Amino acid sequence: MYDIRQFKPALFVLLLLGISGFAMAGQLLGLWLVAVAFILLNAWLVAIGRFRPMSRLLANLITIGAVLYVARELMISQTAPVVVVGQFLVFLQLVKLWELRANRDYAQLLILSLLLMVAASMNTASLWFGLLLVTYLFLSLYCCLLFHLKSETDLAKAAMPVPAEKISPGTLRQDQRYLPRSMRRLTGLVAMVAIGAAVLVFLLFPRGTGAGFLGPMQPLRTAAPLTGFSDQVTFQDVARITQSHETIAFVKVWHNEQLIEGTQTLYLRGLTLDRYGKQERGDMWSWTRTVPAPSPVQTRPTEPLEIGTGATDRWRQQVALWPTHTDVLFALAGPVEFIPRQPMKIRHSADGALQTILPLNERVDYEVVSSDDLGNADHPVEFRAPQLLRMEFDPVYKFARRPEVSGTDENGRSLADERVTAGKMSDLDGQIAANIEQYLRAHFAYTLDLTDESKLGDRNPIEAFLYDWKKGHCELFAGAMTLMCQSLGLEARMVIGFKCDGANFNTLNDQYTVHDSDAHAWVEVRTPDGWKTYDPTSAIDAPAAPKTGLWTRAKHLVEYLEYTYANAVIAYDAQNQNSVVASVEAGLTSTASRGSTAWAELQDFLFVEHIVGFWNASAAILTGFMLLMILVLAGALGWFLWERWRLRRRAARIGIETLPEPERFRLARQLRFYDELLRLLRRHRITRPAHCTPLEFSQSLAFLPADAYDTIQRLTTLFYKVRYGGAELPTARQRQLASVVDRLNDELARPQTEP
Amino acid sequence: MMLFMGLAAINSQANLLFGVFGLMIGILIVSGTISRLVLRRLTVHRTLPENGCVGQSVSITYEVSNDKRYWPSLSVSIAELDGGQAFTTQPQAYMLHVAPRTTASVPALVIPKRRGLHELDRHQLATSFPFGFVKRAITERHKDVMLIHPPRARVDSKLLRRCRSADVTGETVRPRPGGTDEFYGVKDYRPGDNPRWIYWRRSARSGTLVSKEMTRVSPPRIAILVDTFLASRSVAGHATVEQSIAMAASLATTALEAELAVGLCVWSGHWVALPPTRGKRHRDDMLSVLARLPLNTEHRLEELLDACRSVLHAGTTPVLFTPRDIQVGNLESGRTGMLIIPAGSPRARNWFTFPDDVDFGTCMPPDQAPPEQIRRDAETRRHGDAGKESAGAFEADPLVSASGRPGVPASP
Repeated sequence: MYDIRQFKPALFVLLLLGISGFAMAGQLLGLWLVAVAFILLNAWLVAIGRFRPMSRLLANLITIGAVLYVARELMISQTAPVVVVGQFLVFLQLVKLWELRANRDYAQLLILSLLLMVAASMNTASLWFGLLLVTYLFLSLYCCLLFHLKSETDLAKAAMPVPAEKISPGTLRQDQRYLPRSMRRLTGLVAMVAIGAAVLVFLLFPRGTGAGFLGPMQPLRTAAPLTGFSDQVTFQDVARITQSHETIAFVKVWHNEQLIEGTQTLYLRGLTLDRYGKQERGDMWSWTRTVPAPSPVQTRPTEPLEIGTGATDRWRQQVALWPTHTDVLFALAGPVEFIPRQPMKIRHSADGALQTILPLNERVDYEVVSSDDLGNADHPVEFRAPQLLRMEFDPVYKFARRPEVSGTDENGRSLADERVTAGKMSDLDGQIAANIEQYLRAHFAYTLDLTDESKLGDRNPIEAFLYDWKKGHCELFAGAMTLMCQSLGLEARMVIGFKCDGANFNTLNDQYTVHDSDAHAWVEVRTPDGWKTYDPTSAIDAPAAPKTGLWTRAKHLVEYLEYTYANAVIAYDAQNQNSVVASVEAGLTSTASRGSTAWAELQDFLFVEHIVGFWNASAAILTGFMLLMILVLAGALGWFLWERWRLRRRAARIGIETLPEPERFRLARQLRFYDELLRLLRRHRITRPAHCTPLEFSQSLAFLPADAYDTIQRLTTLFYKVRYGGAELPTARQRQLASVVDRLNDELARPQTEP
Repeated sequence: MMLFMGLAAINSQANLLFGVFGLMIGILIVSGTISRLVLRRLTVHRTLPENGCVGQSVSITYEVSNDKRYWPSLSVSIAELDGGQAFTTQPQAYMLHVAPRTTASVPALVIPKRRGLHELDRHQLATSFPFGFVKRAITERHKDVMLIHPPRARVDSKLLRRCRSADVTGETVRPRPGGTDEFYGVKDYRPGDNPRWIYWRRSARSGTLVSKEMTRVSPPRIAILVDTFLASRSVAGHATVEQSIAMAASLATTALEAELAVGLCVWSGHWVALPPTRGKRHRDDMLSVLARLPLNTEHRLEELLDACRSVLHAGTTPVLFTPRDIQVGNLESGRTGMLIIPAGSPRARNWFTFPDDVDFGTCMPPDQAPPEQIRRDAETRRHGDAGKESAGAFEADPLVSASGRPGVPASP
């Protein structure tokens, strides 16, 4: 019996996919490396025939040990239970793989692998995982089919042992040749039906009911809040900042209902930070938000929150914000209206910050209308007195007072000194802020890598930045400028959020894709004209803006797919379901309605009185036309039957009447020339005896004139090529052969001349 | 697994799991369709061997043709529903794969346990492909018969020597015309005779062509008489009769292989007397008669001896197989040199060595089984032990109907 050789390689690939999926969802690279190494080693040993299964006893002991370990981990360790259980499943798979000896082990492996993928499915929304899952499911279908065949074959071998010599070699060859193709066909069929069912269940299975009835699902990864978006932003120890390119949000923006197509740089504000200093308990220098949290407001899709009025410029933003595990919402400056997609409670501060009550552990969708005007309202809390700041941050104050930093007037006097002397807000504020911004942008370099710098110790990082490093990341730039402005008496605050430009714009879905790496800090300074935005971060050594090349397009495509996948698959909910059902229902209703309207219109058209005469005339024409059509149809049918009858007769004359019908008709059409040859010879009283093959018959005609004999020989050779060689004669060739037979007729009819 | 997936999907509300759950439902649905598809347009042609012998395995070949244009058939088991009582196990075969528009042939090895003519009619094609959730079966009819010969034993050479012994048969070798050995006589030359054998001197004298006839060696002849009279229909009685028949078949086969001419006389519905001769066809005729011997509760040994006179010519050694322990002197066999072999005698056991697994208690055709055995079999079936003999998981499931609906017994 044929051995199902395809099963083991498919199983190995399936296991690798399953473990890769879990590792991808949980970002467990170490686990993946170990598991893959073990699987590949096992596959290699199996391939070279040196695999020896582990004893059952040993496998059971290892499994018991693993169970105890898992129990301990679940009770004591802080690791998420899903991770522990997933690791256990991976471990069990490895044990089973090395224990493999019977079909039940294979079955257990398949189930363990599927469970692993289930655990991963519950914990990731990645497009790549989705693609991997689809591949995995297809392969698992194939594996299951092969496994069923294998187990049935093994059972049959055990129950009905057949010696090898009794097995038909032809059947074995056939299995070897056609089984893979058959399996592919059946897998395709199963996959088609299964996908259809999956889509239906996915679309129509009631959502929301029964959620969490077995307890809340633990996330596979411990949620890490988005770095830098809290009420307190600490300048870390001097180190390398590793940027993450994970997608944070998709933002679609309209300016006065005109879609912005990547031409605008967006500053999506998050929080403002207004006080710099050391933390109360600890020695970390940090920016702190001192604005008290306002009371929350309930918002619903049907009840938008009106924050402000009278905005002439309307910047409408549709934001799909991925779980950031912080409470910060992002929007352009000057929000006037907030419309959530799902009910949520938010807090809105006077500095324009939008926050939720709880950290965002799930994706949220909202729409914000902004005026892009920061206004001129007071900061919700008073800034620290400049005198105190000067005392506390004297080096920073001295740096700010430098004429090359804060600028000079036309008389060469330092603007900073003038501002300090004046002690109140003036037109100088905007000028000073612009000068500081310009100075920092021109003389300082941007970097994320500060590992080479000496340890700060107790030193203020902003001082180190201004005097020693002369380079840093956006928070240092913004922090330094804010502190310099505040020390000069300006009202300034640091803003953290995201900065997106044309490079972030995806033309496929007309959205800005916001990544983790787009996080940014900038400065807002109050001038007599209101709050103004300044971005002091240097462009020196900044990464070049990506070009619009193939790579960018590919990146945009991936982002577009990620967004579509996340929107259509991961975020599909009861609301989507209702809208799908409603749109289908509406479509059906409108189709029925349009149909009935069209029918009514047709009736009206046909039975309107003034065209009754036309209708009568038309009816006669129509009847005639229909009769004509019936005649044509009958003629076609008659011709078809006549043709078949002729072909049958021809097949009988040639001697191919016993062939299957399609083959018989095909050959009867192709061998028309031979039939005509036989009929011609019959007219000349030469008949082929029933026992003669065509070749024998042609050779027996040596008494004919040489040309005729030669023609008959050639026609007979052609007959064999068509009849047995599978040759096809085109219509032109058939016509040519008919003329050859006609010429043969002339030759045979010519009186013989004596030699 | 599907239930688990459904619970996981509902509990977590993870859309991917809803998709996987739907996929599983789809697989369940498609299982039924595919198993039906697998069995559609399958034609099974059974090829039986000409005959079999109790205790010796024979191969039944099934040629499965898949007439579908596109879809293959996989994992189909074929099981015979009729005639199973002739074999130690139910005849069944497993076909892994038949590609569309091709034919695959699969063998089934069976060991016959009852002699006689057995009819195989209905066979069941069953599959649980693709996932084993649904098992479907269809029943087809294709009538074939198979003749099972009685079990054959290894015959001791001493017995053969006794059969050809001069003491019993007179002469070991008897001259007959038609050979090339010694001069036998003359005859008229006929066209077609070998011209080398023309007796020219005699021809010249007589004026007509005459040719010489030479002798050929004629081997000894034996006539096998089988007493099948069964006084009481006990299992032991049946077993002894079957043993006699099996010994007769074994001796006939072995003697024919040793180029002895063998005849047979036995009651087979009427008195059958095959004169001693040789050849494969004759062997088949004799074994066929022995295989189909009916139940004999009327015709006693005396009648057999009367009936066998036509085959007992001079130079023929009669060998009588009887289930009874008969004294030689009691019969005229002593006078005629008859060799009497009581089936149960120790000497018979020495002469005939049967395979260990031959059970003479179940060797008779099913319609001749003793009432006690029929009762016992019925009780065994009632207690559900009938499957012990069959091949476990691959036994044809009688609860799968021809229509493929489980739970409805297949109609015969």
